[in-house]
Amino acid sequence: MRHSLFVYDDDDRMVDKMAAFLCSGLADRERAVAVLDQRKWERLADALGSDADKTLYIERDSFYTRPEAALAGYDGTLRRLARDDASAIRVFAELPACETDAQWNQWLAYEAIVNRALEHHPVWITCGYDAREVPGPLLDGAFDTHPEVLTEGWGPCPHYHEPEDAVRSRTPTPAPLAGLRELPLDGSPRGFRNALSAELEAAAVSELEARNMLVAAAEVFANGQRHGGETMSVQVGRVGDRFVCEVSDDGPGIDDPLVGFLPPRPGHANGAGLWVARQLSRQLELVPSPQGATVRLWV
Amino acid sequence: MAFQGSAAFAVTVRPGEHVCCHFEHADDRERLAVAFVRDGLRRGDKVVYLFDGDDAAGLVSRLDRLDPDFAPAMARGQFEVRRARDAYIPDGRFEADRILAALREEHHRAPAEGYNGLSVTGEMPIATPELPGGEQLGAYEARVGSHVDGASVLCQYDHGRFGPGLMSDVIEAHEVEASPELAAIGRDGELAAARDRGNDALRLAGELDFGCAQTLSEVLDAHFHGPLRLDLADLSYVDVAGMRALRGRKGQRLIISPASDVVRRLLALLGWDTDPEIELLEKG
Repeated sequence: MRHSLFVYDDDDRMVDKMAAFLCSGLADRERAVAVLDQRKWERLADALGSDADKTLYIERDSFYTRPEAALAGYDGTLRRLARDDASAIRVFAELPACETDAQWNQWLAYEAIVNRALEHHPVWITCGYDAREVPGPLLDGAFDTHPEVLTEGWGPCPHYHEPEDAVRSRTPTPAPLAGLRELPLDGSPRGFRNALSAELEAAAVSELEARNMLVAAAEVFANGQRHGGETMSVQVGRVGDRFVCEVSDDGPGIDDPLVGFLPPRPGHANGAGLWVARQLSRQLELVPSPQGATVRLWV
Repeated sequence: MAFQGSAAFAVTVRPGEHVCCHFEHADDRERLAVAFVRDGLRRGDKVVYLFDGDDAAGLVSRLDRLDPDFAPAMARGQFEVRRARDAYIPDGRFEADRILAALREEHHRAPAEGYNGLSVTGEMPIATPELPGGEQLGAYEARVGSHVDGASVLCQYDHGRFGPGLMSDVIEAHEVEASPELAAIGRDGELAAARDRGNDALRLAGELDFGCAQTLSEVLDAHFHGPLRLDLADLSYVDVAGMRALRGRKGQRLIISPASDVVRRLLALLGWDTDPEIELLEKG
């Protein structure tokens, strides 16, 4: 895959450059995708002319709901296009407008993750950053997370960092939570599910969230039993209007900040459980602990 | 097996089916029979258990320990344990017509008595093949389905006692078969397996997690080669390790039809929805 950055500050330049990018992507068996807000898509579609019909348009804000969903969205879209015989895919996309630095950091971490998560797809993604909308310091983050940049022509981006470093530096360290309770375990996966299920019900968690938490937490628990140490412990409870489940083991710990962010691939056995856990929970956090790993799930 | 209430046992029998459980270990059939009785009672069926042996009290007390609902159901007459010999071979003869007539009458009586239907499970007496008419077992079983259409019937056969020829006739006469080679899958209680003979599918019911994935994977490896058709409509829970266990050798084609919502969701999360080796059919 190629993952490129395109910074612009007027629409005409965006339309000019990106129509060319997508049109030349529409050779035989190649496909184009645009993930933009409605207004920018209409401008671009005008310039694309009849090629617009051949471009898959996805509305930006419904696609970029959260990083985990966007990764699954891209992976699924690219898999389906490839299944339907696309030989290569070009994507022009813009992130949603963020209100806080925390939100921007989350999406910039996502940009870093994309480099690993979609590396096996025959895709060239160009991310548009509208300098009129994105605060300056955060624009620097875009240069950290894209290996390639479009200026007059396409070229390597000198500020690019390894995704793991970029994700670490943008992921806040989760603080300890008070008030969680120890979940009684009998060592069996079913015993764990039954105990967690009782807690979710007692905490009046909605049916959908309870179901998602049950599956997500069971995957984290399974992961701990497989890769972790001898002893597992689980803490649960309500925190505000959310429900939290923390699974701890005394194994070697989890060092990889991208764990669970990489879509499952045929022939790659590891990591699918935590992928599922990230997909189904509101948030998965790796909590620092003196020994082993602690994974915190929120619904 | 650790103590578990009947609520923990998965059941592969669907309402209105005629199912054969042929077993080598009594525990394997008892798990299925108990789950069958539990489901029948919950549906509001009249449930009859035909028991082959002299210690009916022993059976009843085992059932009682497994499920607190069984004793009250017996007390109110919804659940009956009867001697299988009285039903199948009352005078030392196996007469298909006589048994079918009794079964049919029971089937008609159930709604008249206010039940939603009839569930019958019978342990075929091991003496049957040696008795006059015993050779008719296969022919008898072939008629059961049409005689009591709509009733749920679970036939229990001690696999080693009926001879291979007779056993294969008997199996042939059932829509669904729980066989000894599948029994290992069910020994945790939470997952159960049977062959849907009509659709040539392996049916899994209950909860498939990393605790039972290994056993499932071993059974599939040993007994299922070539394209594998799976009926996963009754899987109420599945995790990643469990889904992985369904994939045997590389290149083995999977046809999943039908699938429960939990299976569909996980399949999509794993990206198997675009896997060329996996076919997910909407309807069975």
